[in-house]
Amino acid sequence: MAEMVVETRNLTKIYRDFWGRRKVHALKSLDLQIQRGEVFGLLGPNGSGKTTTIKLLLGLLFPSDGEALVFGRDASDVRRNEKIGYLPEESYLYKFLNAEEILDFYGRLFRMPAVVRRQRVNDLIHMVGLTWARKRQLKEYSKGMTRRIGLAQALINDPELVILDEPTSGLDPIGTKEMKDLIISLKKQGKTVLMCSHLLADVQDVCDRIGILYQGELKEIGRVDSLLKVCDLTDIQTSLLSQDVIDEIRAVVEKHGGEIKFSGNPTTSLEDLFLKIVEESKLHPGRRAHDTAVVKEGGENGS
Amino acid sequence: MVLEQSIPDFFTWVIRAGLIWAAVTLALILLTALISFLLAGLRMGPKMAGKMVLHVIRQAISDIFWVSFQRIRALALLTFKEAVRRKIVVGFILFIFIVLFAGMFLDPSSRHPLQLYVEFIFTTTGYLVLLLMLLLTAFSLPSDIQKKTIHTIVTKPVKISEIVLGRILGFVVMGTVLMAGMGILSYGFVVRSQSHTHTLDIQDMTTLAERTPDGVSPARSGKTSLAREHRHDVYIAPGGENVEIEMRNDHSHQVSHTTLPDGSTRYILSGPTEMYHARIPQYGLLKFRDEMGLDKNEGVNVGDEWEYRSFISGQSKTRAIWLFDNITPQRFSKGLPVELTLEVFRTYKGLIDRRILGTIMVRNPATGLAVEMRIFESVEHGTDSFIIPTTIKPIRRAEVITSIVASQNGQLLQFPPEGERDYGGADKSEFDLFNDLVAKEFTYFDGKTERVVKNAVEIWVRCLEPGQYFGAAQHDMYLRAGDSSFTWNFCKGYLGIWFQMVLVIAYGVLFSTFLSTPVALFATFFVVLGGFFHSFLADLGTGSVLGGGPWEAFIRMINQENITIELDLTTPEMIMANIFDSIFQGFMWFFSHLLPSLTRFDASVFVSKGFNIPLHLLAIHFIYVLSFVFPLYVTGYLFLKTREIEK
Repeated sequence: MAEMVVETRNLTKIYRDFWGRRKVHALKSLDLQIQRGEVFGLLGPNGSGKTTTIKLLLGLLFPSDGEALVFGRDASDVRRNEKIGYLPEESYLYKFLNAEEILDFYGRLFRMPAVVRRQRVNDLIHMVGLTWARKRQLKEYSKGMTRRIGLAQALINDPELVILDEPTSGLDPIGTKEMKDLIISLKKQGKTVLMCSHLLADVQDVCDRIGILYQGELKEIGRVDSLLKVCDLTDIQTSLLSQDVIDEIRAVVEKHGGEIKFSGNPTTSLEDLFLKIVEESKLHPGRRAHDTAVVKEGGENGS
Repeated sequence: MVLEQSIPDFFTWVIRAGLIWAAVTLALILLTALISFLLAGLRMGPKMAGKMVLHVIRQAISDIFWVSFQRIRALALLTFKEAVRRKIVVGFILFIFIVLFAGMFLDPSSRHPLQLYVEFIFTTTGYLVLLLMLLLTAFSLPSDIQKKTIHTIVTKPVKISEIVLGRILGFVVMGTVLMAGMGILSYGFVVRSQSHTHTLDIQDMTTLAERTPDGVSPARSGKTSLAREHRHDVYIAPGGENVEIEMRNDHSHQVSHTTLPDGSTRYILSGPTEMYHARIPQYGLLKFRDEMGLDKNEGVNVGDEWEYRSFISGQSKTRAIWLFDNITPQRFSKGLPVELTLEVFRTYKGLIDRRILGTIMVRNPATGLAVEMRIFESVEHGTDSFIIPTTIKPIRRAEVITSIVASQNGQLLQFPPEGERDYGGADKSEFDLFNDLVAKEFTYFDGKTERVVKNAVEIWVRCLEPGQYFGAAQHDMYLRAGDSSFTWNFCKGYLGIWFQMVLVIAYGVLFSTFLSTPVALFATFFVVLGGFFHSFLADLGTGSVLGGGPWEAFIRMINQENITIELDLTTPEMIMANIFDSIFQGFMWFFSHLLPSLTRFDASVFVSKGFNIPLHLLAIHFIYVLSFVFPLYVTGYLFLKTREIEK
């Protein structure tokens, strides 16, 4: 049986006002288990309790009831933090430090030897692509750069559990893709990842399992592939076919009592298109832009 | 120098203060645990509450004492960098500006210029450093919590105690660096501003005696050139070799001379001398002899409101008597250098410029042999220095004087006893200080307890003029046992400000663990204010301030009755006033014990008046600071630990 990395039992959070009166019931009796090596996504609209769950797990908030255990220890035991990396929703970093200094600082908090720390800082700065800006104070960084250095600090200790709160927030599509690639690579390294996001496509791309929270309650939990599987449809993709062949296939399907719901050219996602263009531009610098719609319409008008 | 309270012996103080501290700390811990248990018990029952309290205590002990130095250093370094990048250097630049322009406002003609400059620089440094620390500490943690930067720290394996300690240490290191810079600048400013020279040409001097032996130049006198708003009187003895420079504005000068092109002589007075002292005084025990010849702890009361000094009257049996021990030829081979500051209380004006006469007598407490060796004129508002030589010629016949002490049962005892008195020795014309007047060993009895004192001598002061009084306090006479370095003393004086700074930092960090920036700022400011008026708060707490508490003060204000008038209240009114004022008094008592006295660290008076700051006083201050910093650290830890960081 795989080791349980995160476990909550009846985890409840009620926000109260100064007089102790109940204001918001942010999380209601959450029972959750995340096993080693899983990439788990917490989904839900704003105010559903995703970030509250993460903050309860990290000890930034105290539970009103129940337990939040990480590696079998509650938040009062800071030794468990040796194995945790946390990327907050916003990168809450000391803006007066530069990239090297901030990573060095966090490395010291893990009592890393100087040689190891220096190497790790170099590797991480290189990994997040900030080598050129390593000496610049973080206050001069763009939001995306800050996010990257935030990610680097979360990985400074080579953690076993990585907790990512809205990891793709503030990142451009390239950054988003890199983040997703990183999450997948963490999974390959056997790390456990807990992330929360309301960008469903991101979660779908990388998560093994998801939990859906709504108004503080866990509404659904399970493997992404089984949850998203549409059982009463069959999807077959082929290379480009002529209309005659399509008609033949349709006849075969109908002969067996089936029905073709859609046939035609599938569309790619905007993200894929964007990434493809950027890749091509890297290989072939220079003006590329043309309005495909206008060209097409013009061609048709001309024939 | 006025030293209202003796500097206590280190070990005596540590044992006494340590016991009180331990008792109070234990009581507070038990009280906190009890309150926590009761509150938790209401929610989860006594069994669970007990378990929880024990768990918290165990964890607190582990968190408080088992901390990682490497993490604390990282956090301290972060705090340091934060302060530096928040332009703390502006504070230093402000200090430079103050120092640059201070010379324009400080009076160079002051009679005590060193005191003026030293006290100015210490006061300025103190206020500026405390203000900077007040601002920095109040902004640190609240800003961290508000900006959520603390999230990336508490989610690392960092204990809350390490965060609190890291903050405190970071600010202390930063403040120390800042103060080191200020100290170097201050020292340079003080020494540089006192530096000056004078010149004196021989033709500008007055010849005092026309007739001198052939080839010997006559005695001359004159005044030097003006420098720093003063001149010195100069006397040149016949022959021109011995030049005496008048002490003025607490200093004199070294003299050299040069021959000008026209063949005349010019005397050049180089930089000030005898200005930068750090005397190491040896204080004695003071007692008084009353009109009846009995030894008492206090002298005559002349109605002076300040009870620091007690008085002896002129032409009477009253004496002020200091007993010094450890007087050995090895320590005082050239005699006893005595410095004496006496207050003069005149019952008639007379010639106000004329000083009051007194005598100095040296007495062997073991044999009773007493030698009057000096008649002096009182130096009002100043210090008289003289040396008791190793060979003393009495100014009148020596005598044997017995001390009469009343024991607790009223019996009058004479010391020394009859058989030990040295009547034969009184006939000598010269006395050896160490053989005749220093008691190798004798039993000192103050009316209550006896103790053996070794190598002791008594110095008696008598006022000669009827109707006039000398006021004396224990620290008014001391033997100048040596001199320490002024520079080192200056550094030790700066340590006083450093102690204040550390306390302000600890309070600032504590408040910032649970209060928002403006409230933490206000609370720390209140601590600083309370610390500077600590003695007044303590007096309010013990009820020793005239006029009662706020209720009584309110009644007096309404009825327009000053504090010397007995209040005419009905019984219920009196009871109300007593209850209300007692509660207030209790509150003030408690409050005054929560606050440190910041004035106790002010050592500028030692430096400015040229007295060495004893190392054991610094050690006492250091322990006093620690006794506050540790509970503040623990309280800060508890506040931050029980606080939801996210909120």
